[in-house]
Amino acid sequence: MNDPILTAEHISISFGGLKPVNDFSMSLHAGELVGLIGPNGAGKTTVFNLLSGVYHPDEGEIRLVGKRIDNMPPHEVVAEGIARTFQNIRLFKEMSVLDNVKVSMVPHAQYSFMDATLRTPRFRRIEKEQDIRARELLSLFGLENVADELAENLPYGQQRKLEIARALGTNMKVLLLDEPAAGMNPTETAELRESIDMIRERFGIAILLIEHDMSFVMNICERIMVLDFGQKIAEGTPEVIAADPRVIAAYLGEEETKEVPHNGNA
Amino acid sequence: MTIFLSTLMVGLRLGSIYALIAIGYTMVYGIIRMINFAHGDFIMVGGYTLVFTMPVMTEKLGLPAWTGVVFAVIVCAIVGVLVELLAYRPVRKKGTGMSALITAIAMSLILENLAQAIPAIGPNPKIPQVIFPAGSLTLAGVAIDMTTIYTILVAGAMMVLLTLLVKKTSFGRAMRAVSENKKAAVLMGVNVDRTILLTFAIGASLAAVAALMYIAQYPLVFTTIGSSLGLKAFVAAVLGGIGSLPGAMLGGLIIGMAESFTVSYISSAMADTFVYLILIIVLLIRPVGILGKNVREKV
Repeated sequence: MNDPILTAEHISISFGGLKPVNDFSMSLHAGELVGLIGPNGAGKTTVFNLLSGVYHPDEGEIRLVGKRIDNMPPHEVVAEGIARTFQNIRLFKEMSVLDNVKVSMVPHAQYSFMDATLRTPRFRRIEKEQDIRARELLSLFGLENVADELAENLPYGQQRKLEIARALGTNMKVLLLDEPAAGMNPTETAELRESIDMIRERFGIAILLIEHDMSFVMNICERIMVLDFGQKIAEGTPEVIAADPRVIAAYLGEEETKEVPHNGNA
Repeated sequence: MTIFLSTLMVGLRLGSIYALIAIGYTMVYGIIRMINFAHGDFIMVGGYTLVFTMPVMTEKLGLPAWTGVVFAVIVCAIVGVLVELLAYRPVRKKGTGMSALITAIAMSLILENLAQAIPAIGPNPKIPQVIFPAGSLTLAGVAIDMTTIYTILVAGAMMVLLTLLVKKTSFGRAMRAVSENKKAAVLMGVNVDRTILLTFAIGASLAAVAALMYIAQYPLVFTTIGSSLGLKAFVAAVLGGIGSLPGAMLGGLIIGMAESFTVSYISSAMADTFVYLILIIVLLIRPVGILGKNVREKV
């Protein structure tokens, strides 16, 4: 296998007395789809925040195509090629669907303020190119007909799709998806699977995915990492993970089975 | 009818100036949720820059006086950027909303006192040269002076330009994204700090244009010129719905009209009373301002 696109080596971060991510290492290759799972509070989103530059690790290194990115501010990490979506949808609700995607293309709009004020040919050409590209991305998710709607007026499933389309506008090498299937019904989840397959096929990027929907992760990911108390406790194919006793213990609790206290009419 | 029409034109002129200034308040508020109390003082900075550069333009270069506005815009944009860079940003990253507010008030006083300390400015007001040639245009039997016509046209053009910039360019998209959700904007690759600087530069530049239009009509520049003008423009921004660009434009026009009509039909002494009365009434009915949005506080 060739060199990994994204690597994290022994990264840790602490907040006060807590160490939500502790000596975590991972690598991601082009075209891979890897799942990051773990019980609530295991530190999954913190890993995403470290990878995307929201937090800087206290220890360890993060490299994207060999280049250190762990001390860059988030917008520079994006420019290097990491894009992400959010656990709770964070669209620009008061902006149009099209403009949401075009926000992620802002760093690629190579025209000056003067070009924009005077609406020079250069400005119009770049705007037109971005417009076409943004509409293409929207059409990949079947959103081309709602391009001019405000983002807040979209139904939930479409908002989730728009988040992914928006992240794709950044020209990324790695896409981090934070619980993309959260709150989706089975039909929407099936559509999401198709979208993710399509993204991989079309863009050839690496995808790291946090997800609680186990069947979703097990079906779609080639490799899964399991996080518990900020540490990676297992890694492997879905079959290996499903059979790993440490994973089962992490999800079900250390003791064999806890007695559930009776509350009268249980 | 004659009085009505000329009152209307005066209201439009005043309103245009208030709107240009109000835009600065509303844009900065929209992007960092802070009232920039030093914004009024950008008018003063623009005013003095004009006083000193216009003679150069006319005497040395033989250009019309108003071309000095180029320097006023540049100087104001630089001062706006410096204020954010040296005062607001460090305080914002460390402190609370209250400390940012106090810093803004401090910045206003610092700018005024700093200006006075410059020997060429000093404590006495300066009288700028005539900016627009005298003359008037007769419209439906009413003579309207050229300054009024230029003010309305230029302010209108600036507002159209700004609206296009905010709605249709990457700079505008960045500004809207940052104003709505900084955390999401930065993770889409938007440089938040630079976008905030740009907002200050634009707001201050519009204040420079407002300064030109204002001193063209009232040729006197003094260090506190921005306090009452700035306050009224701030009222306009709040009236229209602070954070809303069309709100600032509408608010400015309403305040300008209210002032003009009160002066013409009631009494000039009552002008300010009416302006503030309108503000209170509107805020009682619509606390977020005419075009303001209800902001849902996130936990």
